[in-house]
Amino acid sequence: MNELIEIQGLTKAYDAQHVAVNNVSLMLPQGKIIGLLGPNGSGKTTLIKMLNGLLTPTQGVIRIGGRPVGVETKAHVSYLPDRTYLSGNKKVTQILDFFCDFYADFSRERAIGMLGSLGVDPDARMGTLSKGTKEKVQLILVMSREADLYILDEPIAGVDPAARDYILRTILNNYNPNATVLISTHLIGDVEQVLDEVIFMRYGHLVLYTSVDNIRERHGKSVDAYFREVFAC
Amino acid sequence: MLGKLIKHEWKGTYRMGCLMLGAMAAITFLGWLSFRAPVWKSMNGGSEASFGWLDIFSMFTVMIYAMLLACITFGIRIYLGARFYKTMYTDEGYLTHTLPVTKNQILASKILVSGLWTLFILLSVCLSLFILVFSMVWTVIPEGFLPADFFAAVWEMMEEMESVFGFRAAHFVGMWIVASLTGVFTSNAILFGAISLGQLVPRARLLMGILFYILILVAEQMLVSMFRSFATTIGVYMNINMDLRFLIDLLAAALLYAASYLVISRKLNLA
Amino acid sequence: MAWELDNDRPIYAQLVERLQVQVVSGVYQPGGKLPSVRELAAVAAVNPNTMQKAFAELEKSGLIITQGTNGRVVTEDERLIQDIKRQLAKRHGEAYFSAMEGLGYTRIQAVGILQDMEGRGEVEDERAD
Repeated sequence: MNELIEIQGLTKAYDAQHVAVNNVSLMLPQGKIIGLLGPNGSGKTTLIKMLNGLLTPTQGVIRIGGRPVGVETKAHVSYLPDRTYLSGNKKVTQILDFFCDFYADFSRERAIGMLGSLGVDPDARMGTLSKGTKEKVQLILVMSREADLYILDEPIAGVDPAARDYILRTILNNYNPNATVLISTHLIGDVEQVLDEVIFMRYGHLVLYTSVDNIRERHGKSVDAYFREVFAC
Repeated sequence: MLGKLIKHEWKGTYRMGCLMLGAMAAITFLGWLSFRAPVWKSMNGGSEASFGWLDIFSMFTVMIYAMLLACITFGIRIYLGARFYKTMYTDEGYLTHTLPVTKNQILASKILVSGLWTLFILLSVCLSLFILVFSMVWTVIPEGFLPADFFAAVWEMMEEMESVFGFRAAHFVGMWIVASLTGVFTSNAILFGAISLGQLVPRARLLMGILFYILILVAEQMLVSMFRSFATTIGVYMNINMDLRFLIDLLAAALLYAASYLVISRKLNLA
Repeated sequence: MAWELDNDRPIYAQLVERLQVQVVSGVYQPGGKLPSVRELAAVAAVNPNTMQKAFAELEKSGLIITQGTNGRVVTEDERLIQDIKRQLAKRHGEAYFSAMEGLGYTRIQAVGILQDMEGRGEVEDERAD
C-alpha cells in the first residue's frame, strides 16, 4: 500500500501540564476516506493543525507524500478548518480568483458549478451569506481542488441533517480515488458509512487505527456503538 | 508567488488606501479654503483686522485640518497594523498560513504593500502641507513669492548653519530623504514585529502587541538620545540625530522582521 | 436518497445484498448495464471503496461481469440469478424462523401460521376468479 502520511513519535505540548498530542505514530495510505474520531479535547484539531503547518510539533516527524510539512505539502493539501477563514467583505468571485492564483490544482469551473447548484450568487459578498451557506462555500472551495490529501476538521458539527447530507455528498462526488480524505468528527454515526478507516484518539493518545468493516465484523456493532463502548466513562 | 501575494495584498488594501488619500485631498481643500478668509488678507496691509464670524470659522477649520491630518497619519498606521493582525493571527490566519508560499514571501508582501501605502500617505501629507503653506504665504504676501524662493531661503539658512556649527547640510538633507523613504518600510516591519511578539503571550495578545510596539518606540528614542548626548555642538547633534535614527530604525526593523519570522515559523498558535 | 444500512454488519456485505436484490427484482435487467462505482456510491452515500469491494464480491460470484471499457453489466445467466434469488429467499426464511423461535413456536408451527395466512389469501383469490 502506498503511504501518504507518515507520522512518527508526534508530540505537541503547550506546556508541561497540557500535552495535546502524545507520542502518536501512524502511517496513512493513499486513496482512503479516514475518520479521525475522538471526544472533544482528544487532540484531533492539534494533530490536524500540525499536518497543515499551523502548529510546530514539540517532537516527532510528519511527512506527507515523503516531504516534511512546508510549501510543497501545502500545495497538495486541501484543508477545511473548523471556522470561517474568509474575509467578510470579499466577493465570492474574488475568493475564487484568490484560490485560482495560489492553488494550481484549483478548478474554477467545478467551484462555479457547485456554487450554482447551491444557488449562491458569485457576486455576493461573503459577509451577506448565512453561516450555513458560508460553511458550504468553504467546503466547495476545498473540494474544488484536485489535492492529494483533504483534511476536513469537523465539517458536520452543528449542521442540520439536510446540510450534513449535502456535505457528505459533496465530499463523495469530488472524491478522487488516488486522494485520501481525513475527516475529524465526534459525530461518528453521521459519517460512518462514508469511511474506510477510523482513527480513535483519547487524551492525545492514539487508541486505535483500523477499518470500519473490521470493527463491524469483529465486534458485530457499528463504529459508533463501539466508540461509545471504548470511551464510556 | 510573491507577485501574487503582493497583488492580493494590494487589492485588499486598495479601498481603504484610496479612501485615506481622498480624505487627504478633502482636508487639504478645507485648509486651503480657510486661508481665503478675509483676516489673512488683512494681515498683509497691516490695517486693523476686521474679525468677522468667517475669520473665527477659518481658525476653526485650520485647527480641524491639523487634527484630521494627524488622524490620517495615525489612521493608516492603525489600519495597516489591524489588517496585519487580522490576516495573520485571527481566523483569517488559517488561510494565510496554509497557502503554498514561504514565510518570507508573506512578510515581504505585507511590508512592501503597507510601506507603499505609508509612502503615499507621507507624500500626500507633504503635498498637503506644501499647498497649505503656500496658499497662506500667497494670501499674506501676494507679491511674487515663489516656492523656489522659499526653498532657496531654507537651503541658504542651512548652509549658514554649516559654517557656524559644523553642520553638514547636504548630508543632513540626503539622510533625511533616505531615512524617510526607508522609514515607510521599516516602520511597518517594526509594527508587524511588535504585533507578532504579542502572540507569544497567552492572553490579550493584540493588546500586548500594541504595548510591545510602544515599548520599542520608546527604546528607540532612548537609544538615539543616549548617543546624541555625545554631540558637542548643535550642528553635530542634528547630524548625529538623523544618522542614528536611520541606523537604529534599520537595526530595529531587521530584528523585528526576524521576530515575526520566528513567531510564524515556530510559535504560531492560532486560537 | 441515501441507503438505509444496519449497524451491526459490515457495510460492504449489506451493499452486496442490496445489489443482489436489485438484480433479482429486475431493477437491473440481465445483460443490462450497471452504473459506475462512483455514481452508485454517491447515490447510496457510501464510501466508493466500499462499493468497489461489494462489486468485487458480486463479480466473484459471477452475478456481474466487467466488460473492459464498457463498464459492468449484469450476467445473462438466468439460472445463476435464480440461484441467488433462492439464496436470498432462504435467508429471509431463516430470519422468520429465528424470530418465531424467539416467540416460542416450533418450526412446524411457524410453517402452519404461514399456511393459515396464505390460505386466506387463496380463498380470496378463488372468489376473485
